[in-house]
Amino acid sequence: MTLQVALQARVGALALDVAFEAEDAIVAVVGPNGAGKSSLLRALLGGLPGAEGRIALAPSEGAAGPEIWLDSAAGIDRLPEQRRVGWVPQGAPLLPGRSVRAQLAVALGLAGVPAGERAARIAEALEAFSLHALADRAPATLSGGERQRLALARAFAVQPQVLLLDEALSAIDSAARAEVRERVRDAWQRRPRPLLLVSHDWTEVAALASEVLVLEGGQAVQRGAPLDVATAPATAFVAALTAGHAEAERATNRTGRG
Amino acid sequence: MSSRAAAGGWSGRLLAALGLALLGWLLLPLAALVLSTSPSELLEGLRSPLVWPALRLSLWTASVALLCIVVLGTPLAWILAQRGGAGPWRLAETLVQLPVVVPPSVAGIALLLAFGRQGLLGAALASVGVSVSLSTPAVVIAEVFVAAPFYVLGAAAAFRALDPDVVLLARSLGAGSASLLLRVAIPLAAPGLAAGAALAWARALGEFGATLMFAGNISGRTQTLPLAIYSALDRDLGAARALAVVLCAFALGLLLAVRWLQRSGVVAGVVRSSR
Repeated sequence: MTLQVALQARVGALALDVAFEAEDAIVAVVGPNGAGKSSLLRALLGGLPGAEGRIALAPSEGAAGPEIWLDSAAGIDRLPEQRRVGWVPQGAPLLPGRSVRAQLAVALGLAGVPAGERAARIAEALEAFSLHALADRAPATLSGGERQRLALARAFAVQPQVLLLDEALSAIDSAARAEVRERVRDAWQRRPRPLLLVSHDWTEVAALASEVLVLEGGQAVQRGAPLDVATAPATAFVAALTAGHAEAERATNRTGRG
Repeated sequence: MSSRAAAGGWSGRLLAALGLALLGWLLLPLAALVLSTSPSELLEGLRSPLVWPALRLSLWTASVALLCIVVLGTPLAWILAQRGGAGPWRLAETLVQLPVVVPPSVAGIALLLAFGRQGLLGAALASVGVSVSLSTPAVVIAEVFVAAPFYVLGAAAAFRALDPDVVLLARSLGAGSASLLLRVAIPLAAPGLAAGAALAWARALGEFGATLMFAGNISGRTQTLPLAIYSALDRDLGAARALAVVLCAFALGLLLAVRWLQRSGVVAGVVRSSR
């Protein structure tokens, strides 16, 4: 599938104006605070009032036409519940549900997954993000990192058409982060689809993303593979974010990564 | 610094004295009520024939009124929380508060003019054989009228306190309007909704003026606890005092329940999740 985006929106003082396409790939969205990263994700979700332009999801093969989410010229603006997007918001808010398992069950119920399928989906989600030991824990007792793993499991479990991860690994302590990254990659590889990953951590970007979109002041200022972006940073922000990584990555690539 | 501290101490004491004076003003009557009634007098008063029919009727009507308020008021509170910021719903939110500021006797006349035999809907109701005034349903109608705002405003505040990201998250998962309300918003806002319901129930239980004018004071049919106190005042002060103590105990219990719900609501994460 291809997510086609040509979007304009005003968010406070920021004028968001971005156009890009994302195929079944992990696309990192980086940029300084206030660049419009989270607003871009909200617009894709259908949760940003006043968003204009066009958002469409085109199937990769077959005769079916694209699914139009937003086309302000034609007066189309699908509601969030009609877009089927897996969103991991900052702070990983909790749904109702007295245990991790119940939280996942509520999410699957909202997504309309038939009751008979839910147990298998929950088991898969718990497995995918190593949540088995936490399955019966009260959500209020989870650490920030555990909550983010729950939020990731929830987003993947509903098998959405598009995934939007907003700093979804930021609260996970650095020792566990590499493992959770692998979990995200595995879960995505099982069902590849467009995935936007907002991140402030270039290690995460380089490990997960095949493309990078740099936002500054609401505009896309650079687009490319992580290594190319790190090698030829277009702005001072990108240079600072990627400092030291280009050399290290080239070295890893030479020794053969697979 | 020391002179400022002294001035602060002096004016601080004055403020405390003013505050304590009002606190005494509020508590003295309640203390008098409890202190003037010995346990044996209380038991004696509770044996009055006025008590049990009134107590039963009060609990029954206040509970039916609360059911009506919750079933009809929850959707209204949700809409007000979602769209109350502007347009006609903003006006609606103001109008919902009207019964709080309208004097009870005015409410009584208004209810008579709406539902009474000569009222706006009286003829229509009479044509289907229903006469509302001077009946138990009239008590419920009056109680809903005065108590609903307490629930609706409390519930709307509880819904507004929900993290907007949770609402958007639930919608992105696929929740339409009904399941968003029933499966996400109500469970998350439950402590706040329960606190609003407790306040509304207390208000319904204490309703007096509108009931007296609209429903009358008929033992077993429209004579609720507050009306029974009013009736007993002439003939049997002991019974009036006992009834008053009972109502006071109900009110205190509800108040404590509300405080507890409000505290536990914070713990349960009703307020915006910490970032």
